Amino acid sequence: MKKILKIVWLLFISFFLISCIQTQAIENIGIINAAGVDGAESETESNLIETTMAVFQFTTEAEENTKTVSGKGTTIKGAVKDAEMSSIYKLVPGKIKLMLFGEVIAEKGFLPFMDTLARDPRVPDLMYIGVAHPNAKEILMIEEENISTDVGQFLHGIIEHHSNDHNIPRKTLQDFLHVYYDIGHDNILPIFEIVNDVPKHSKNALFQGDKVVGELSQEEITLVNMVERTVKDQLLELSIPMGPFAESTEYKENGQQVDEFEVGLNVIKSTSKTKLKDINNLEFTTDIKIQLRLVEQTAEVAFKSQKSIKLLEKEVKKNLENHLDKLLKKTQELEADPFGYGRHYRKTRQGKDLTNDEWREKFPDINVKYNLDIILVRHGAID
Amino acid sequence: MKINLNISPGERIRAHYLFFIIIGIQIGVGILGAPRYIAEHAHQDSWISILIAYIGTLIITAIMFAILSRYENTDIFGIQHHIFGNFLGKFMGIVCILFFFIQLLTTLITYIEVVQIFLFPSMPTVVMTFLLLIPICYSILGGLRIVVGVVFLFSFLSFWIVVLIYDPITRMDVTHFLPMFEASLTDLLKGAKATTFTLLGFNILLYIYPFIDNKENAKKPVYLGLTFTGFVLLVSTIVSIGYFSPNDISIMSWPVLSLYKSVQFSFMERFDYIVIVEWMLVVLPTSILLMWAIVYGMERLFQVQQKASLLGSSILLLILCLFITTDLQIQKVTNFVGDIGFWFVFVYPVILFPLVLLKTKRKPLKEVQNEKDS
Repeated sequence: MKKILKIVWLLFISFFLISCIQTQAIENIGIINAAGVDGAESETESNLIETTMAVFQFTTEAEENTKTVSGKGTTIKGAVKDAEMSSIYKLVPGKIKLMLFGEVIAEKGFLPFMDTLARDPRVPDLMYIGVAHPNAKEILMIEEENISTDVGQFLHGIIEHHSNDHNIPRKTLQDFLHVYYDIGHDNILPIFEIVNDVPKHSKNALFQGDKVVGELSQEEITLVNMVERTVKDQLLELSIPMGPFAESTEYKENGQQVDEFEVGLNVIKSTSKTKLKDINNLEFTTDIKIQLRLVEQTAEVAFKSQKSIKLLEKEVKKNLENHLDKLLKKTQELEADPFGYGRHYRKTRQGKDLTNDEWREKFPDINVKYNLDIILVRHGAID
Repeated sequence: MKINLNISPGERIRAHYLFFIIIGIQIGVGILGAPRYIAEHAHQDSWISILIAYIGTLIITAIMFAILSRYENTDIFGIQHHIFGNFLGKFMGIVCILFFFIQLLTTLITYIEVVQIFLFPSMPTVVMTFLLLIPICYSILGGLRIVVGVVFLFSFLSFWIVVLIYDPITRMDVTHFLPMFEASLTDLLKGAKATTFTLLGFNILLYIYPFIDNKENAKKPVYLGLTFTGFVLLVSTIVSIGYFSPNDISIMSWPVLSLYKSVQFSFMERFDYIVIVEWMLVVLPTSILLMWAIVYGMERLFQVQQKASLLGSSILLLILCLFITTDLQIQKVTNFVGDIGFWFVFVYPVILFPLVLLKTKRKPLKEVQNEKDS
């Protein structure tokens, strides 16, 4: 009996202690699914920021599952508070899947706005981040009928789906901060803009530190990825000169004579290895081994013999090396190193004290020799 | 005061439980933040620092065993009494108890701070302390066997968390460890010293030794326990450095907790919440063992009843929790425990050892064993 009394007493206390914790009933909270941060464009209120949030709501009365709210403030948390004023819910950040930053902020620098994301442990580390063009509000306020789902899910879906085949830079908050804090490596983030009333991932932003300094196309991203890591199942579109193939070509009867033809190649697997050959002259070599599969061509070239396949391999190699050189020049002009060559420099004994500023001075002077090893493994069901 | 103790067989524990006692008391809140403090000094070579610290714990433990083997069946209080005499021996005993008390306080407030930051920002510290003290007091009142049982069970219930870091492991960046062997010897030693707060507690051996039933088998589980702790610390530090950028880790309060923020399953989006709650099962064994050492010490030194000293220290803990509120204060107390702990746990046994040798040499060993009151 005494024991039972003791237990009852303990339960009694525990029961009342529950009220020490803030209650959060699901009907009363709005779960932020996607958020966007925009900077003010006018000079007078340059420290004012606007956040827009796609919020899940779980009331039976509401017709739609999501609702978009926005608010203004000088801090992100302040702007969220302001947005709460127009919502009957308490907005909670525990399940943010995507965070978009407007172009104004992206050009000024991200990091001040990243602070709260890292500081507040409620904000998940695995949310994707991206840049919105021209601003995040427009994208998050898109009409739902255009995309037939809510916008947070939609944008997250775009990133998730495409990143699975490493098409676009899948950057979670953690990935971004990792690269940001790494010395001699710069970030790439997807840019979203509205094309034909639908948000589209059209190009990519190249960062220098936390500021956007340039744009990269999808093709260029593929090249960056091939230098930086292992790429699998990825489409390459290349223009190949017709000349060398003239002998082995069988034109359709009405086929046109062309100077160049387009090929669609699928990268089965590409692996890369970068080495620092000469640290004083900043000479790097990058060996990339690419296994390809021909999936499309526009010139009816018949690949019957080993010779024509070797020819194609050679042309692809030439073409890719050309592109890689151009891309390197472009990034060197922007002084941003998305390949992470600086990391290879920093990991040597001589370069261990490298700082980001030093690497920005050195990076435009580096020479990279690309050694491509192209293997055309298959050419499909026809010759 | 008796130097050697007669423990009835019903109160004794089997030697293999020492494994769980060692890891239970060592792995606590310290490991959550340890990688940061180690990396602050040793950077990419932190793993060497941890190996140095691990070897250090092995050597100190060997010395502890050597000290204990000079006596029949005693603990640190008996040894201090024998070596320093009545007054100084009691004084040193108080120091031991006070140190455990501060360690217990740090463990509790650090864990509560984590809960407040991650889960319940407005929850008062006193309430959390009170709630944590309930299971602690409950196990202490049950006696040493219950304490060891709780430690044993909770160790099993919390092991699985380690498995979850496979996800960050797959995304590690190896270049963070290059170039290797760059840290100077002083940096490495400083890094090793920074592990102190995490590795503290294995001196519980000096307190629990008389209760061990089969002493001839005591060495193996203790060394295995130390190895296990060293391994867990090594893995979490390596993964933290590989996963986070070295510059990033230097501003993180709890890198190991942040690792779990990146673990995601389709049925459970935020695993860090589970880990924080689960971490109570890691913190409780530490706290229970520390509290046991305090209560046991009070009884041994001043014949204070267990219940009285348990109540006293619980109330004192509750009061102190009211005063230590900001994270800077918590940081200060933690650093204090780390600094003092280094001298107390790592250096003190080394000083004690020659004294014990001298004292037991002058008097024949048998006499010491048979000495009842001095």
